Amino acid sequence: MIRAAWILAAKDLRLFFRDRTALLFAFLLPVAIVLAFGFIMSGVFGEQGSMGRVSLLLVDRDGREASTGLTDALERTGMVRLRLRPGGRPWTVEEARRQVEDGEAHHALVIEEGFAEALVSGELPPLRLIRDPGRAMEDRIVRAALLQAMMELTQGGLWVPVMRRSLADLGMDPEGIETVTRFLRGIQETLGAFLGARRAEGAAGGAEEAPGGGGSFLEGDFLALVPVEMEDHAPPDRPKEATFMLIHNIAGMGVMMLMFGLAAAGRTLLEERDQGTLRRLLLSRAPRESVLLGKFFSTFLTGLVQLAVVFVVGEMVFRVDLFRDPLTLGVLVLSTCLAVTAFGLLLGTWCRTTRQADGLGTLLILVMSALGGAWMPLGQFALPPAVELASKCTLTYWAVGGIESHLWNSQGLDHPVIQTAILVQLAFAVAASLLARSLFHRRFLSG
Amino acid sequence: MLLEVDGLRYAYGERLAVQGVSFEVAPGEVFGLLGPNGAGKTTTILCLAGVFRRWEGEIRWEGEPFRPAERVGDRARLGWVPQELALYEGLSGRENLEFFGRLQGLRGTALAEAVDRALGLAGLADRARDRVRSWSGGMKRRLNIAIGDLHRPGLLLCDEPTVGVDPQSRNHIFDRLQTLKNEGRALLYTTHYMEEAQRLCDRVGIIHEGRIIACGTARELAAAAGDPDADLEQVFLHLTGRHLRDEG
Ligand SMILES: Nc1ncnc2c1ncn2[C@@H]1O[C@H](COP(=O)(O)OP(=O)(O)O)[C@@H](O)[C@H]1O
Ligand SMILES: [Mg+2]
Repeated sequence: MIRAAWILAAKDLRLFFRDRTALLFAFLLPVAIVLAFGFIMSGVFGEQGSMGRVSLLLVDRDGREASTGLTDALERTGMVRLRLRPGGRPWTVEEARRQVEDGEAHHALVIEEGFAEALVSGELPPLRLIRDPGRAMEDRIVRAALLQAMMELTQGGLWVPVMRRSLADLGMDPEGIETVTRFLRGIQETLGAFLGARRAEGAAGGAEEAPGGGGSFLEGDFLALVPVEMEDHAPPDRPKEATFMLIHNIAGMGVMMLMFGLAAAGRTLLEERDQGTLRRLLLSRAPRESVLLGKFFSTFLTGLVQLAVVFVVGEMVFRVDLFRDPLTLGVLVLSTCLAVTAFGLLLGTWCRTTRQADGLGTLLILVMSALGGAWMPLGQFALPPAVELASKCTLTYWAVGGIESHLWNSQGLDHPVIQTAILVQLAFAVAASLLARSLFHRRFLSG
Repeated sequence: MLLEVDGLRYAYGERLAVQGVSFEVAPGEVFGLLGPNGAGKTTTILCLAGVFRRWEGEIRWEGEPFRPAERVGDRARLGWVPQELALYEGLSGRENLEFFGRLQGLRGTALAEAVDRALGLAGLADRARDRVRSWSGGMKRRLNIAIGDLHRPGLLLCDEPTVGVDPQSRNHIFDRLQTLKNEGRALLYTTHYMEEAQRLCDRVGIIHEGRIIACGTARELAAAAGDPDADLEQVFLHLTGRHLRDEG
């Protein structure tokens, strides 16, 4: 029994290790996925390996030393990466607004005039956050960073003005607020003395001290206390129910599944060769190139139906007005289908066996999906240039990016972001189709 | 002559599979290519059909140069019945015939008539709407032939159409080919079964290791082998010192 099982297993292993294609993909595929993911994750989550840094535009209207104190403290949180304009000059408020509206930036912090004075006088320091609402994950990170940085900057004293504002909002009269404030200041001083003593003790004992220790216990709902005025910018026609992750997943998963679907369609060229029908087609009265063109049509139409189903079902389930600009969505869908069709046919003509097409197809689709941001919304993180470049070299980047920019930022055909995405995809479609055609001639028509 | 093949040569890479094959097919004639497995029958057929384009030698159709791989008009004169089944298993028998008929330029009532006729002749009419996947091997073989003959070509190339077929279907296929013959259609038929060649073919070319080693009617071949009563099996043994069923 066991002996027989071993004989059978040895046969399987022998066959498996002789099949170079199977071998290649059994080992290459996981390695490639691990590498691609490692590459992208190290880009997203940086060196510390804890939390991705969210990119944050900085507008400094106060321009004094206190501002530098805040930006240094923000960088020290490890949660955000401040983005200055190339050349180092700070952004203006107008520029920041435009960047947010265009989807180039998702959050911009404005340090208003009088920030330095407010810090000194113990008033609530004037800060404003220009943001794209609906990007919940980034929003929490930015506000946590801001809270932590402000606590550090004011050595924990921030909560007094925060409390004053909250009490005023609740309707307490100024006299009452002053009483409470005096009381709070007393607590603050006592606490400060106590913490100072602790800190000295710790330093003497060699214990480590986390930076900004005063504010680090504030989490969760305390984020709501971040002393910042919000200025939201969202395209007026984007429904309130739409969240970025929802739109991202519709675009990302839709494109990835499209690639799998059309890779399978392109593979039928090899299936037809194996089952002998391809020769029959080539020997008919039909022009020989029409065989490839026919595959192009059927693959393309399959893709259109597939994406249409994704969007129609997505709309029925989530009701986020995906079809508010059908022309732009239509052109994006067409160009994506053209590009992915060409990809599928290239796979079918490049590979020599169906197994090879399956393996290589899976490999390319998963790697491109990881790098191109079909899974992780890469746009919200500050990526190193090499990672960003690798990302832009994938078809997925442009396919997902185009649909996402349209549905999230409401960019239409007149917007350069959409135009670029369409042009890149069409260029790929043309180049890959021509290559597939020449491979078709070489591999299928000569003999 | 309908078809003349003169010094046909074809190599798969380095390996010469057909090395100087010459024969002729007259109008209305059934010509058999008889030879063991690996003799070069299929390769010869594929050169004629237009699958391969890199052959050497000469092929003429009614005296004119014949280049089926390059010219659609030339390919359309031929029907091809491949040795391996070449069908869409996911389509019904009728759908298969309709599809290939359209590719051959048939449409409308001409297409419908051709399909009905083909289904009737092949004895497949009552299962025509079922997917081919559910058919028996013999039925698939008959459909394979019906597709090749659908556009009623001037010459039908039949590459071992009875391989792996049960005796009943085999008889059916034979009757079908006999009908073609009686209609006066020309047929080029390959087989490694000498009874088939003897029964069906007007003339036979014996092919061995890529060469035609003898050609003529069964009677002529027997006489050439020195025994007027010899059958093709004995002729082959006489010529090669081997049996037909030996692997080539
Ligand atoms: N695709 C191929 N590649 C290389 N050699 C081949 C190929 N097809 C056939 N051959 C070789 O060519 C010779 C003739 O084969 P074939 O024409 O199929 O013979 P037959 O049809 O008479 O059995 C054989 O030796 C066979 O091994
Ligand atoms: Mg053969």
